[in-house]
Amino acid sequence: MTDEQLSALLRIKRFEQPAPQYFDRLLQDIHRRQRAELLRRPLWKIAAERVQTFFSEHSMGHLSYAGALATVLVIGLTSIGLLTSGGSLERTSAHPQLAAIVPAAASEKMLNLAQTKPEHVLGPQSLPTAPASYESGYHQPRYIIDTRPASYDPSSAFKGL
Amino acid sequence: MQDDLSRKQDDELISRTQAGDAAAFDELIVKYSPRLYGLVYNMTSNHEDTNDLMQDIWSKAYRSIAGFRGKSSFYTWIHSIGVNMTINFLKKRGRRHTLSLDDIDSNVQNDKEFIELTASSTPVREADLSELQKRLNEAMQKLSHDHRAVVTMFDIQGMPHADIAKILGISEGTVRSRLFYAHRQLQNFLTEFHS
Repeated sequence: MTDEQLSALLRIKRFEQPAPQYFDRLLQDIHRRQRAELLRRPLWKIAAERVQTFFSEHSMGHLSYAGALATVLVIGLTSIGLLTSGGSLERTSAHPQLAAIVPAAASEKMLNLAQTKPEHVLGPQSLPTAPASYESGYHQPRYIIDTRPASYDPSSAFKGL
Repeated sequence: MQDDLSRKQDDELISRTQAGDAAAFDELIVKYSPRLYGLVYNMTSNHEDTNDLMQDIWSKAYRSIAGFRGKSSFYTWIHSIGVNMTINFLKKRGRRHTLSLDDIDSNVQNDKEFIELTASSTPVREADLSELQKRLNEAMQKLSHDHRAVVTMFDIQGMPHADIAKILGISEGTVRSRLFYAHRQLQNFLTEFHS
């Protein structure tokens, strides 16, 4: 088979087209599909578009900026809050002993709600003790104003009186 | 391939579409669907797959047209989307190749060029053209996706090398080399059938 024969044979294939009414139906199918795609869009996209449309319809350009700023602030504060709480959780998880004590203490507190008498959670042994030198009086208390106040000095202006 | 008037019309339709006029996009669909159909059908050899792909291609084009900046013509742009999506589809479909129910369309049988070809005293006529067309479809399916795309655009759709290069994003030299290789393959296959 020569090149010309092959080309002629291939050229015929360009006429392999569906009936003309197929293209009308294709247009309808595409429209139907586009409508279906609109319904399948994620909720956040639809919400964002509605907000945008609301602002554009009411020509509230300055308010849209304020809204955008407020949104950024809310998102920022929320993320900071999340990060902070995430950080404290991380810290707790970094110290497993502390993580074990905190919920235990919390549960004890909950159980003791009925008790009227307050209970010391920390015993006297856990309080810091002062060194013996303090008790012996070796360290006298030191006041900030050591000198005699100026008002106690006799005024030179009244010397002659 | 595409004259200035046609390109100006396209530019206007694109601007209107980008401004939110969906009817303008419909005009583009009506204008380019027949050519696009030929491209996709000759690569898939299946009407149902072609129909699905046509919808996919136009839907993607509609979603992306806001970003169309006119660096290439719409004709090149939509054909690029068409070829890439069809090649991706063929890769996913793998070796499950299904020839169309009617390997030669009934429209072709009534075509003037087809009648002339069968009436002339060529070896092709003796070999029963219908059977030869069937063989040609089979041979086309044996080509790689890239080679089939080039043959479809050049031999079947009559596109120049330069346009094919732009659509596929390759050099004209690569287009020519792929064509040469694809022709050899098709000839070998059809010669076997002849003998």
